[in-house]
Amino acid sequence: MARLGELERSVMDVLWSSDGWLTAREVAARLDHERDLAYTTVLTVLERLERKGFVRRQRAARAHRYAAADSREAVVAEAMMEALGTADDRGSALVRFVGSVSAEEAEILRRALEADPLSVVPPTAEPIGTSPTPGAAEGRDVGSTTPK
Amino acid sequence: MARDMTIAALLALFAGVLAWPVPRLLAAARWPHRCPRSAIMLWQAIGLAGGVSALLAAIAFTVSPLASRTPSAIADHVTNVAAGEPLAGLRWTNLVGLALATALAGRLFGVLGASTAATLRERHRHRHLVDLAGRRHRRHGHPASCCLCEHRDRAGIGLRILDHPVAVAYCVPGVRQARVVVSRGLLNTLDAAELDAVLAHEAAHVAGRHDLVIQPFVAWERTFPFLRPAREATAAVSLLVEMLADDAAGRQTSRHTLARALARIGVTRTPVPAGALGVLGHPISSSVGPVGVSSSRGVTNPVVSRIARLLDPPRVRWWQPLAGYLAALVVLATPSLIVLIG
Repeated sequence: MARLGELERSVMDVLWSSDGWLTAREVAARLDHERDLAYTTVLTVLERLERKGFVRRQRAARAHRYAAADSREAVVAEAMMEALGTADDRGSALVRFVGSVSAEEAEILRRALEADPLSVVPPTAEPIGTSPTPGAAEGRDVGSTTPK
Repeated sequence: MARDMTIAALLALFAGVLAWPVPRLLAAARWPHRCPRSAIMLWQAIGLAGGVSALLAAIAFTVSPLASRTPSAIADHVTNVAAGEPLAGLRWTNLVGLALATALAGRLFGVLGASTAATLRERHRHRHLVDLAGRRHRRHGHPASCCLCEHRDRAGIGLRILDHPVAVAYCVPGVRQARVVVSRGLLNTLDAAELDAVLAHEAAHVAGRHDLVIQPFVAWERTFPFLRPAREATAAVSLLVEMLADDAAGRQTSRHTLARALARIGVTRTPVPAGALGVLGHPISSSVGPVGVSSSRGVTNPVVSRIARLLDPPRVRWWQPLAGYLAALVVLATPSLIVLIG
């Protein structure tokens, strides 16, 4: 089962990295797998992916041609939409690290980061003192604006 | 018989108390943040005992004409059913009550089943998405002490990286198919120590099967979407589960680092223009330090209260978790006690 998942991913990688339509044989040729895969295996995987809606098929006289239904970016965006979610389906399918934050609350957090004395940082977390992350830099920028 | 009706009424009353005032009080209480584990247990006891009381109330009402005490009335009814005469000795009002109770129970279990199935389907689909479009973490080309590498090797959890600028971290729960997903935006936002803390938090969710804790409450909310306590219960339990994972990650890494990670991600969620600084009624003076996070008017946002809790761990007295467990036990035992003693 895990093998099949791995294969599906490799096939999608091939389709995403090529521009036009590919036949199953072309896909099989472009897979850099540890061992040569039977053409029929690739065909089976392509059909599975088509059933799930990840792959489109173009009927052709001699061999069907396949392409990714959506770009990788679109699939990532779909996953991100679900991950960021809305309040309605909170906690149902995914367990999120941070939910939604209002502008006001983000401001509270920004202040907290700004006020965060780096000296308090435990000695194990050296990287912070030496190289400030983008987030920290952002915090300082805001800090330069004097609040009312 | 009159006594039996009293028992039905008592059970119904108890179910009502567990369905409305108790969850509202518990959702507003502050003490659960001190001992999330026992508070979660209490929430589960409330949900379970509420359902059991409602069902028992219906049963007690239905069988009340059969005997003076509920247990023997139920036994009589079971005998009647076995004898092929389930309606023997019952009046039509009792049957109306039974029909209502059956409808309610059917809806409860139906929605629970449907919502669980929907969750599993969504989760399966989502796992598929991140497996296909997410990137694996590769070993080469970076320092040996890489926490992504370390995390990747944890048993049973697949790490996936989504190539997206918005910072997210979450887990897709599952038995042996769990995934922890982070975005490129997250990797750019956090430093190594913060990332390690976040990954430890997600691993705690997976290991603790926190999705199973939340699921019944989500189902409850979907069954009664118009009931405010149901919504509040789901929110409260979700927050408690986050706190459990925070505590676990805090023990493994550092509470302070995790708090900073939370704040950094929270800030990226809603980009505030610098001009909007004055929106806040009373700005936190920087001298207050990190603890100042909690000093805003009534901490409502889960993220904010989690950060406050991480930075300023509540002092837990030894009896507090114990009291929580005890309360859960009392709540669970009450329906049976009403039936047996009453």
